[in-house]
Amino acid sequence: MTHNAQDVREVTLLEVLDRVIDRGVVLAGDITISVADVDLVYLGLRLMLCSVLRAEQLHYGASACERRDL
Amino acid sequence: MKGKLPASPTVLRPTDLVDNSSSDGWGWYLYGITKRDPQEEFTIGVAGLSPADEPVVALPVGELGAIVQRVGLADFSTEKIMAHAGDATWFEQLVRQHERVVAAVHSERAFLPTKMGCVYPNPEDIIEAIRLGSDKLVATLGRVEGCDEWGVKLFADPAAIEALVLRDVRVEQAKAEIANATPGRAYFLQRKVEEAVASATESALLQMAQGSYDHLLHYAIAGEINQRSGSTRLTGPEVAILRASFLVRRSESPLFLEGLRDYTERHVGFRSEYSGPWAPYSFVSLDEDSAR
Repeated sequence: MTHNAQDVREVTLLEVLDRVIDRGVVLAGDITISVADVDLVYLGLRLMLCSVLRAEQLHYGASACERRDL
Repeated sequence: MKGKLPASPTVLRPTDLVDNSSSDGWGWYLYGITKRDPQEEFTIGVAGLSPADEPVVALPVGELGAIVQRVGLADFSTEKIMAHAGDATWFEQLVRQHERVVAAVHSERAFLPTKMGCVYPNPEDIIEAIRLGSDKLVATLGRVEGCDEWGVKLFADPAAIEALVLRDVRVEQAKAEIANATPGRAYFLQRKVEEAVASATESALLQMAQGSYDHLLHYAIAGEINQRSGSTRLTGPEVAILRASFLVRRSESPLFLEGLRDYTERHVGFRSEYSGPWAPYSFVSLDEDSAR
């Protein structure tokens, strides 16, 4: 869960994306079905992450996508 | 989606492998790796990715278990992914289903989540990949056992940062110089003041980020700075100072959270957000040098 002071709410999508996209164990990647296809998963997720971050930047006034090198 | 109990058996046996391996159009999605006793059978009581009636199961690999699910290769094809490239709902469902399985396994046992989207043609390929890294996987599992990851974000009121900047000796000197300068020279010195302010702001942000990170690290067994503030422009209602992850023993999580609360209360103009407990996504590198 994400917590802000006393506020408790459902995990935001941004928090989940933050972890599942770029982190985690990577085993021998060359035996996955297709690196290209796996990369496409990330491409799609990154597109979504970028749109979520753009919403966030309305709050913080900075380019969140740029900060994350997307 | 509410979790549901998978069909039994939840641990694959050699005969299951023969029955299920690499039939046309099917692949194996790997969620992560856990320890398991060869005699142990454990359940994973949540539904995974689509198709939801394909159970999430533990594939035995020596003393390790790969948490896997049979998936349709068409769901991970270029065409399917590109067709959904702009479909946030589809991707959100994918992400949340993946995380739901990871969280369920992590809540029960030491678990190394794999990067999202790893699909293997056959169970044998997963077994081989795990065998190759077996020693490191076992060591990493031992390191994260009984621990949770917590995400922390720190924000500061720009006024609190400006107060630090104005006390910076470089800014004070530049302002003193400009105060005593002729109007013509003052114009050129203004640039120097701006540079001093930018430099002092960068120092203040670094100091805040490192100070808070070091403080929280006392309560954790490892930490990782994911992002510091990348701008010295103090725009907006607040400035993001730090985004970091910490690996914390489960029994010490209350202390960690109390430490975070104390830190923000003691620093005027600070605000924090935290999230967790997560599986140790940020602390599962198999590179021994990165083990902190």
